[in-house]
Amino acid sequence: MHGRVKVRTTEEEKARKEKERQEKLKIFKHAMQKIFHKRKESELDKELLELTGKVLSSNPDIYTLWNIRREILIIFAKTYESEELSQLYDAELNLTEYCLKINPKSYCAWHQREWVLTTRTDPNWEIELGLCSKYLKFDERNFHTWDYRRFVVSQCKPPLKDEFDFTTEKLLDNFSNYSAWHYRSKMLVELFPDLEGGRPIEDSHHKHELKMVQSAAFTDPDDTSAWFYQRWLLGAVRMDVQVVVYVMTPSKTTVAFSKPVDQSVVDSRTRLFHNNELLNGEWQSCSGNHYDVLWIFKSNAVVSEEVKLEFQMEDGHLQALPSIKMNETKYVGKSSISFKRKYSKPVVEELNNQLESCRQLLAMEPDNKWTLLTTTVFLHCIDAKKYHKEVLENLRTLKVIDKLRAGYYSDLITQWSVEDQLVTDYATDSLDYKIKFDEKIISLPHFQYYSHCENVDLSNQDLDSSVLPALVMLQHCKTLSLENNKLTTLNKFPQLNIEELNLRGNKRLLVEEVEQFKKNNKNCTIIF
Amino acid sequence: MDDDLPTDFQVIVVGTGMVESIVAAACSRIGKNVLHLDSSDHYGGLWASYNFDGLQKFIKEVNSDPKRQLQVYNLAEKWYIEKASAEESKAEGEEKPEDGKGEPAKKVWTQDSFAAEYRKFNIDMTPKLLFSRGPLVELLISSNIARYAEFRCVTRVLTWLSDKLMPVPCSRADVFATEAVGIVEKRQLMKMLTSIVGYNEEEMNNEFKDWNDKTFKEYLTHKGLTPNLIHYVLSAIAGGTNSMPCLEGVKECKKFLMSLGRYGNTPFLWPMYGSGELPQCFCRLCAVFGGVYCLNRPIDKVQTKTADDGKTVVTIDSKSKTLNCDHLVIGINECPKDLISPEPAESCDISKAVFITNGSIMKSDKEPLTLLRFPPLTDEDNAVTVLEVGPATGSCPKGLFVVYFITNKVKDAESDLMPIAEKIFDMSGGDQTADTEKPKCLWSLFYNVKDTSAPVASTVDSVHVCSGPDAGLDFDRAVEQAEQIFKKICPGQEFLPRAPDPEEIVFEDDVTHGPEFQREDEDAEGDAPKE
Amino acid sequence: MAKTYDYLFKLLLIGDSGVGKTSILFRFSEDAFNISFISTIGIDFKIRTIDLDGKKVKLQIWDTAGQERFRTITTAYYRGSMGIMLVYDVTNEKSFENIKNWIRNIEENASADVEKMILGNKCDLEAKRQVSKERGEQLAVEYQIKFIETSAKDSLNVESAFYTLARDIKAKMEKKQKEASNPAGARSGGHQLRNEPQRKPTSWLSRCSLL
Repeated sequence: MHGRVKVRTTEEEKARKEKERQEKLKIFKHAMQKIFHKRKESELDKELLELTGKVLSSNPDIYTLWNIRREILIIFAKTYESEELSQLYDAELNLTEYCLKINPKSYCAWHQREWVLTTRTDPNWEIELGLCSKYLKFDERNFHTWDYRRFVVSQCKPPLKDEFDFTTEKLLDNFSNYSAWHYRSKMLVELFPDLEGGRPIEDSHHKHELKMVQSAAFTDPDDTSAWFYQRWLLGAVRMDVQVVVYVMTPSKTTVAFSKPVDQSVVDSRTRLFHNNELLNGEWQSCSGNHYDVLWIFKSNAVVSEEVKLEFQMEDGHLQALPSIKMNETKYVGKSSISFKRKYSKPVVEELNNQLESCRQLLAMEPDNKWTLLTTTVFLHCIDAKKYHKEVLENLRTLKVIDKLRAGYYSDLITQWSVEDQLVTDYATDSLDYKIKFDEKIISLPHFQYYSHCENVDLSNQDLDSSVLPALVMLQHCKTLSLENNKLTTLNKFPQLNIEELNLRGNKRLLVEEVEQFKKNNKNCTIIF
Repeated sequence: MDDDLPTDFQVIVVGTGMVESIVAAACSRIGKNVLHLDSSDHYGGLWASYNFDGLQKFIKEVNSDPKRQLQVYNLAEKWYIEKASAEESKAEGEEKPEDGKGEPAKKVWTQDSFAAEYRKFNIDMTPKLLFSRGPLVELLISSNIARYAEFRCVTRVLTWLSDKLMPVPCSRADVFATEAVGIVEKRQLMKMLTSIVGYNEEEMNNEFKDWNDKTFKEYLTHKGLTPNLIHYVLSAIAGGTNSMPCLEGVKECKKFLMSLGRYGNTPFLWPMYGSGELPQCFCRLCAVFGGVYCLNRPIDKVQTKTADDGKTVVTIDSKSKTLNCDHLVIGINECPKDLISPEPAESCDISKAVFITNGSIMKSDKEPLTLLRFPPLTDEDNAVTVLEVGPATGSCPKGLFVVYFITNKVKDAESDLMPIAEKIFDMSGGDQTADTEKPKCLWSLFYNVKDTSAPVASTVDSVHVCSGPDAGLDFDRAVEQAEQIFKKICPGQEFLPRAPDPEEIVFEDDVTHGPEFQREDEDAEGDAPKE
Repeated sequence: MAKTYDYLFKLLLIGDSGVGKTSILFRFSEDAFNISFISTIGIDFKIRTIDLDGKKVKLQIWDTAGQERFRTITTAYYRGSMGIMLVYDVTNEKSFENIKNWIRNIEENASADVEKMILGNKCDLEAKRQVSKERGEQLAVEYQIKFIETSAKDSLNVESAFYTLARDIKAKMEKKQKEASNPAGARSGGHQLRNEPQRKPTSWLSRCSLL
């Protein structure tokens, strides 16, 4: 017998386990039956609390049972003494904590916890914060815990700096953590805004974050969480909403903004003058939303002379925009525009440093898509105009070496090419719009900037039918060419007063549909 | 009491060092009748950990009776602190203010206060680390022996670069966090490490086909790494020197990198309370499966005789008793000379040192556990492995650190190691409360150990000699040798199969069980509630 | 790998061979008694989870694996233990006298704040008794340790002995936690190695790819 220990054979063990399982299942079924019976009979008492607790402690995700418990606790709250109630709530917290040990991603258990803390009169938020830290130690990427932590922080309001430092600590452990980067971005703008420069983030912190995220990006370029944060940081610049163009004709007055604005902003801060007299009227967004880039001014006024627009900007400055008389009845006012990102000087310096590192790396591994993409983004952010050619060249290379994201690169090409052309176009008084670069566009970014145009030529591009709703910006358009694109349907074509529409060369567009479209738009000459 | 000791065993193991203990456990585990003896009163032999009192006894023994500890020589102990402080002999309440607010004033240690807290020391004769995915960790887990031990993660790997200590960025998190290397270097380093881990055998052969007779350093240089990065990869990660062959460097790097991310930020684990715990864990398993233990039991004579059935029996005389066994497994330091054939020819002895200091060699927020691979100072020197452990490992009282130095001997332990000690410690003694840049050395011990790590054949088939500790970083060679010896004794048998968990064991005459499901026994997993 | 208990206590049984340590262990963990457990082969430790004031306390009770026979208990056996049952046999004078030696052994090897308790086992064998209950009590007073006479065979006081020890450990632990400034980060011992790492494998290659 020496040293021979008897161990159940696998068969025996299986049978034993099965028996045990059956036994437990029986008990489980019995308990569930009893629970629902009691609930039906409205016996919301301590026994039911105990029963549901027992079942939950091995099955934390039966949310009905949590509901029952809340029902019971709500009833108890009406009659019990505060001390006893407090004990019940403590027990509830213990139960959720126990359940979270079994399943740290249990929606119901986290929710129950939140409910208890917001319901009871004596919540202890410090303990909750400690609990979050503990659970994030087990799994620093559990977004349930991060969500709950944000909730707790919103209640107990610990020093924001502590929370910021907490994300630093977690990221140093493992920077593949969307939740932590995201949480960090939220706090960054609150903790360190650039009050003087009016930028979202103060220089030194902006620089520090850029450094940190580049370190992550180059430690593991295949980790996408860092890239997202980097893009967010690069986009964290001052962006003032302004009016880019407005058009006044006897039949229609439109105002286009650089970014979508709210109805109230338009109502209260945008004013049109005729001969220095304020015009009365109503604003309507051209798409019917509360939030839009293009707004229509409904007024009975007939204008024949000098028209002017004033817009009260966010920072209090007044944007005053005179107009040019284009013909007898049409007045157009255009602001000067720029897509250059307004970084502070130190941040630009940092970006230039980082660009330099990227170039060095690129010399070592020319085919590395991450390095190439980052280089490209830096180039664009630092001086889009100056580097435009290089940027496009890089994006074309990326489309080849990183086929998986070819669509994304095409998008960037479209957007940045359109921006580049826009600046030139705005320097003229032309009412024509035609794509003047070789790349084919696939979308219509910044299209409200062309809302004043009468002749719009979008021929020979790669536009499909998904862009059609954007055509609503063409409120003053007379001739529109969509020749040689990839339209498949006209379903979403907006109501416009176009006189001539060219649809030729859209091979997959059905004749029947075009015929029907003709019938519905009798005033328009349709070429197909 | 010893009279109870049975006399006939299948396997007798003499010596409780690492190899002997693993063999004892493996034999007992598969049902062999095992007796395990040791001539001294504690476990571990040359692999032992001592508390401060035990260590003093050991030192005394080596100095007064060199014959008992033949392997250890050139032993020199030195104090850098007073015997007793004047005030302390008066003030009995020597308990320091336990974790009070802020940094309490540094304690002034005396030889007497060491003695008073002697139990809190666990000082290793053979300090070693485990690779998180190395053979010993895998063996501990697969055999279920892991439950007898606890470990701490090594928190950092340091190196000596440009005349100062530097943390080595060795994990993804480290590379991200470090400010010591530039962004371009980060990319280079990660690329190098990632490719070494990622190569499959074919890619490996392809990449390295022309590097057979070149050094690892040449390879790294060829790959365009900066001198800093070469130092990190070669010296700190691969643990090599300029002459390290390329393929060996790649192998060592891979071993290091493969062990990352399992338990902590570095690839290494340190056994709580010292390396001396590990042989004991194997002994425990041996005992659980019926092995009989007897310490303080020197053996006098080993003979063989042929039994009536023609089998060879090994007989051992010990304390006027004759013990018989089929196989004798014996540690080299307990082994009579005539059983060894032939004596290992050339070997390189080991220089070792232990220091007790009043602070870490490099300050850190949380208590650090450090591996420092100190590159050779001159061309004649060898690289030195430095391990620094603190109170959290159970190695010493609060406020102290124990630091081990290990290297291959050139001259003698003190000459080999003192120059490095002087670089990282303040060896001048004096005021302990002074805020010095380097920690004060309070006590030191230098010694040489004979290298007994080479496998040794015995003159008799049924006698198996176990090697002593090597100078390497890990236990891998001991595990390998133990398995070889086991395979010789028990051919065809499984080496340390998983020991059952207590709840899996059934007993011969299972009687009067309580009702099965009355108790909250959550160990049996299930998806239903308990009544 | 969900941890489904609030506390885990490591307890040890210590005492001379044959005093009934294994029987006590089986009485408590299996509610069984078998006279034929002469040696303790294969028994490492047993587990029982008990309920103490609403907390689930998992007791991991370790047996000596026979290493007490020649006083060769490994120092590793004592590591991390929070409570120790010192067992003697009331029908064996020598085993009672040896309790003092075992206490010395504990002081040498176990942590200084380990909770201890003395058990005088086999109190059902009144006819063979060599150690009176008073002597047991006296010894306990001398060392300021709790004492109780038990019978694993008759299931007398075994249950309450373990509950008492567990309750004392829990009280001490909670007091310590309260004193410690950060309740969440109560310092733990080392890691126990498991097949699956405690954390998900955040190997340095691990990442998430979504883009």
